[in-house]
Amino acid sequence: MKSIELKKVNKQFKDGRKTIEALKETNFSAEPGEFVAIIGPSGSGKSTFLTIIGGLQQPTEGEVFIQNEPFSNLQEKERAKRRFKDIGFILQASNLIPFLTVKEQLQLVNKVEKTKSDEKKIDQLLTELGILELADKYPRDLSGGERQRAAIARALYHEPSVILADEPTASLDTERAIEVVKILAHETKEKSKATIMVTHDERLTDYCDSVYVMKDGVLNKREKSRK
Amino acid sequence: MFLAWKEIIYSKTRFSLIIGIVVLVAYLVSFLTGLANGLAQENKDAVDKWQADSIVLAEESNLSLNMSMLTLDDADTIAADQKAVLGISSNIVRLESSESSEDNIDVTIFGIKMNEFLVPEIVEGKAVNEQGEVIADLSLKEEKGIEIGDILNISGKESSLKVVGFTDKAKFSVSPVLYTQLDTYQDISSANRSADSQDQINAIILRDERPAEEIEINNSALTVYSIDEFVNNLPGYNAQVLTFGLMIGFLILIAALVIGIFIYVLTLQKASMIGVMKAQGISSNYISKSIIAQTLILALLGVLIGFGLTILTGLFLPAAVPYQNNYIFLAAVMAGLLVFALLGAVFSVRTIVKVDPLVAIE
Repeated sequence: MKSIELKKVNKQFKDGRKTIEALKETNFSAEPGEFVAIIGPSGSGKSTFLTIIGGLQQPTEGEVFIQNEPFSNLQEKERAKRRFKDIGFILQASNLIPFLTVKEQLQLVNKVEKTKSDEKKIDQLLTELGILELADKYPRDLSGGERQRAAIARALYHEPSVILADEPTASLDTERAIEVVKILAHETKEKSKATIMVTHDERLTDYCDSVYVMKDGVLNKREKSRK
Repeated sequence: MFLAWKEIIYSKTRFSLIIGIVVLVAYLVSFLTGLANGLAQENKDAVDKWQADSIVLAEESNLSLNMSMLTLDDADTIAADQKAVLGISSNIVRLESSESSEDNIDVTIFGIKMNEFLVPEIVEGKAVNEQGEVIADLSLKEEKGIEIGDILNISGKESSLKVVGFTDKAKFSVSPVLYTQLDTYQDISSANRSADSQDQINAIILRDERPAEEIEINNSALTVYSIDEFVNNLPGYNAQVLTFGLMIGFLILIAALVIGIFIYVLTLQKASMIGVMKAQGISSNYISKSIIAQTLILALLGVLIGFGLTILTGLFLPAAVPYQNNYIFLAAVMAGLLVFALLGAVFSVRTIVKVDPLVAIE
């Protein structure tokens, strides 16, 4: 089974009379337990690639499959449902809700689903990520690294099959960044997620199973021989 | 509810300020409503006190009580369940003990038959038994310090009146009413009139459930009007009610817009956060509900506090201020504010739906 599969996906934008091809025809797939890094200069189409997989925008042509089921051509409402169930987003520093404590960020998932929160699971997750003692703190009281770990906890909590991380280490120093990526790699393996991380930081690719380079809307796999 | 409440708790200062604005707006609107209502009441309190259905006036009177001239015998020409005659006179009185014209009081004197239904309920003192005795509106005691047994001299007349009792809510065209026997009234008013008009009165008040036009009168010089029509034609009453009504109406409209815009701006500010939630797959529906719940909490708290303040203010206002809460009307005003605030929230829902989850990435 493939967690993510892109078949002949491309994305074009109209800019005045010109048509810009942000993502040229791409085929891609990732399996459970696979940690993929996408690197490339800014404006190369990395974010477009990630947001199409996440269903935040639709491809011009082609189709994205999540868990072998067609996803990208669903209505926004349906996509939101699938996104909620199957995809965990980890975004740059801003993606925690400022007025919820770390614990409440996770509990929100249950509130939306109208289910009871699993306190044991929350404690366990927070312990794994080393932020249990921060459970009742608000995002403003956390350091950048702690915030990202909280975001990872939140993304993992509702057990998605896919984790999409957009520059998760952008605001962190090297040491913190490596720590966060190690956690991501560990959780990917242990919980069999397919994780795609967009980054511009070459050093982080050491912890990934495969590395793709995006350039001018073209995605190419890079052989892991360079190291 | 979860998000709505958590955010209010987290941003206490911001939300207290918003609630504060709603409180002030609700307070302003309801206080003005109370004032308008009080003033309107002071025009017609004495009329409400009659608990009557219709009033007979001279045809030529153009619905003005002062211009209507009837005689006591006219009452016999009317076929109605209960009839009561009324003579009315506007006068200036002053406590016997005072020499200063600053103590002059404008009053309306009601001359009535003490065995008919216009006799007011006495809240203090005793009923009128003799010529020259009056029952006075309680406001004379509260505002002017007049007590039972006090003698009032009538300006420009030889006669004087003795206060023997008080009744409440007896104001007519904003001046307090003195109830006297018809004889006393004739004495006071006769100097203004020809000598042969000893049995002159101004109106005959009817209690009869039939509509005014169905009441038979065997006298073409008389006309029956409903009490509502009569009240609406009290001097200045209609103009006052309309003016205040419009003022309050516009105030509610503006207040509603202000609250609505507040909620809208608040939602706009949260656009990026809403984008993040949408990227996580939280439905617009859920986010919208929480914004509406939040608005409801804010507006309800604000309106209730404003309402409480209004009632408190009413308790501490001096008696001279014409202020009266009409709770049904107040409740309607409050409900109106709530509804408009919610409309503001519903308007914000459009913004929420339109937020592109892509903003979360940018």
